[in-house]
Amino acid sequence: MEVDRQQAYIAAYAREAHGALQRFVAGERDDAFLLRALELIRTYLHVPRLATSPQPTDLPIIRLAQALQCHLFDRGFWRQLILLWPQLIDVAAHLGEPLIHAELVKQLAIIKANQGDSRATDLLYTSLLHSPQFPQLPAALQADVLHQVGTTLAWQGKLAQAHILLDQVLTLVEQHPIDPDHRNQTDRYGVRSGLDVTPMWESKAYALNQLGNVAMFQGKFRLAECRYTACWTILNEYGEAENLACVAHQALGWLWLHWHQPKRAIPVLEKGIAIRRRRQERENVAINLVYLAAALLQQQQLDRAEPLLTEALPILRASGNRRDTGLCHLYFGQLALLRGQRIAAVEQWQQALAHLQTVHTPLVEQRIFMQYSLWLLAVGEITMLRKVSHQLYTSLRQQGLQPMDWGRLLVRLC
Amino acid sequence: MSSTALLTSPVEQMRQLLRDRNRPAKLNESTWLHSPLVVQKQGLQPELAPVSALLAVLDDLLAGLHAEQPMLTDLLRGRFWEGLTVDDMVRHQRPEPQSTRRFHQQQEQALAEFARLLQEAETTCQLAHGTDRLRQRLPIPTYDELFGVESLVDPVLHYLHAAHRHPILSIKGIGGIGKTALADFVVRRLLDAGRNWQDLVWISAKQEYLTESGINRMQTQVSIEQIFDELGQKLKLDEVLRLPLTQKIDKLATVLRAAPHLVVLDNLESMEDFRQLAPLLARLANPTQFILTTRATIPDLTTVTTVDLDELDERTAHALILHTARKKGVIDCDPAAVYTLVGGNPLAILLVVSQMQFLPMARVLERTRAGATENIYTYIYWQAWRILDKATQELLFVIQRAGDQADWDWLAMAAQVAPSDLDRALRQLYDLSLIYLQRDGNGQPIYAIHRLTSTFLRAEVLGWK
Repeated sequence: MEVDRQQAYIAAYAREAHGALQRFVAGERDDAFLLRALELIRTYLHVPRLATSPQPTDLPIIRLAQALQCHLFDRGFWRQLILLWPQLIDVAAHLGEPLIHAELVKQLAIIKANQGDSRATDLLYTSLLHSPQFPQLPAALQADVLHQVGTTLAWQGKLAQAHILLDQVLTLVEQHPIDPDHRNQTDRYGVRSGLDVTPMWESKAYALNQLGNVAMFQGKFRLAECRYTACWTILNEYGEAENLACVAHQALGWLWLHWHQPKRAIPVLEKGIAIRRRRQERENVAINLVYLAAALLQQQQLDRAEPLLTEALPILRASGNRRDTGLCHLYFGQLALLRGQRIAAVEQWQQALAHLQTVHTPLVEQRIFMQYSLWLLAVGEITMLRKVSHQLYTSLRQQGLQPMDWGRLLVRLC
Repeated sequence: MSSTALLTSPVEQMRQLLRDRNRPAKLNESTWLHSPLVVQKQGLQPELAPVSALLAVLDDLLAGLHAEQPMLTDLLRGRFWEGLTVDDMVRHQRPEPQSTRRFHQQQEQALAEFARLLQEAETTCQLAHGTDRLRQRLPIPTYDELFGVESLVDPVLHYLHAAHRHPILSIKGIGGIGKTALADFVVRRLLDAGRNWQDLVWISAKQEYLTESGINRMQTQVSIEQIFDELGQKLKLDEVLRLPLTQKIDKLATVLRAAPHLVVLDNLESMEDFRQLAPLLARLANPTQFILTTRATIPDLTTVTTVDLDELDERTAHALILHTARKKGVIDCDPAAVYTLVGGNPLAILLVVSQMQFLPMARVLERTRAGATENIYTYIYWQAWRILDKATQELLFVIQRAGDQADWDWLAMAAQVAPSDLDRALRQLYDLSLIYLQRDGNGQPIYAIHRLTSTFLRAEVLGWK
């Protein structure tokens, strides 16, 4: 009797997971719904296993998880993802579902990378890249994973390794010129087949974008501009001018900002922000607002810059994005200084340091510290100068920059 | 506002604060940074760092004082904003021609006025925003009237007024005795009286967080980490999530030890949980206070003050039985007979009297009597379970699978019954007190099941003991 009840109880998970998936596919995005779906997954993972072998109910549950994960990530359910996804990854591995397994690992690694937990990120990606199943994955998924790993490495300062993987993405794309359109195919659960795999052209665009970042980090601004422009061209070719091209707008705006070309930077950043607002990407909007404010500060448009930083800060704080929260304080400090408020400026920079010290931050992003180091010395803010110098030196070492690189950066930025 | 308020007069505190006004390093360590006015200012202007927010609050107050006392305002501005000495002020005849002695008297008056203004602004801010904000952190009360806790309310209130002596307060009692209700009641009572904390966090430990006996140490460790993760998340310290346990505690301590918070850990289950939890809580407590509700006997620790919640005495139990019967529309309820059978456990009383809506009292009592007294809940629940039709039984499982609570849309999707049947089933579960209502962030009803109900389903019906 009890066994019958247990089996019926567990079987109901499949039905409910399927129902939740259908609601999601039909456009249900309410937070209350997402929470319930997460609870369904959580309680399923805590049900005593009837056997150690995979259960028929495992697949619907991990399919639900896979379908929800990008949205959960965007909506900030990171805590739940971190708690539940490792267990789901185990289930997917035992189930012999390498595609879903790879997708789940990738999502968890993206969160860990966003949280600055580079050790966990490395472990996850290493396990994925070195698994015997990886070469058997569809080329599009391989390219996507390689691009994600390359991105993480680039932002961790492992520029040479990142370069190799991002080049591999471009090679894969060349070897597989025909890119099946995964996006419009759905399986019987209503989930896109091949899972939510990024198309090859998109991975290529993103890889070029990241190769542009690598060049930026090394102070090779002209090369970065070429790569960002190539990325922008691909995204436009594929009809993404008003959509994914915001990635290229951000990159070009960011480059021109640090290249002291605010006139060029401002319109592309504004364009990118408009698209991202439409796509309701709150955190990305906030990041771009910070860059736009920085460009406006270069033009001494203080009153236009201030509300942008004010809008960005709470969003970045809430998302736990320490690097960009730090950058926001960095530019608040510059704003205060341009208004002659020395104490407020130093206070803001102390806050910036408190955030930036805890994450990998490329040297190029800390242009303001480089520019105002001499000022700190001149006004006798020696303690602050010491902290800033230490931060810049740490960043320089973390990125493994060669003397040529930082020499180039010094010339470009200051 | 600050802990130093206990040691120095408001005027002295104000003098020190205004002296530090131009010394950011000193202000950075000031307890004034935790004033509700500063918190409110940062809410309105998130770009402001704490020190800047405090300075902005002082500017606002000075502007406010100007409307009432322009001369005193000029005195304070000259002395503490412009940094002029007393001699300079007197020489420049600010705020008026007068002797140095008279100036000092006037300065004392100005500081007193400024302190009064600050105090008033803080009180207004607390009443207007603080307590409302904190009240929203509490779950919807599952009781409409509390019985038999009068003698405990005063001691608990007393403990909550003395955080330094009673940093961890444990409300202990068997399941269904009303521990959560008592915690909720005293917190609401304090909020009604204007008591404010920097923040209030209510964590209802999930069953899987803190499992029943027999768990191993590693699992407990994970469970405890989850509690601190949730605490960090509710305090908007998202980074806590990615830190190892010791660093989680350090991070939480920076906030909880800096300003008084109230943290309620509801439904703490096992002794093992507490053994590991207590030393960690001790590092976070004071001025922050913790209230734990627990079934287990808490180890005899100096940092923990325990309040035992016993069963209701006969007279109070009778009152509760009659109250419940009236509420449920049960006419022929004999309180003495019910009390003789189930004793003074509020949840057991609620469940048994609820069943009398569906079955004659004699039948309910007879069935319940068949059970051994130590397992009274099991028999009461089995009896309720048998009243339910299959679809309604399944609905309870649906709620359990959704994490012990679900909204109507979810139930409609998962239960696969017609809306009218779903309404009927929910009505029956509510009448039998097998579900209770909460509200989500949008005010929509959430149907929740009690921990004991969930345990019954898992352990008895499904046999996962």
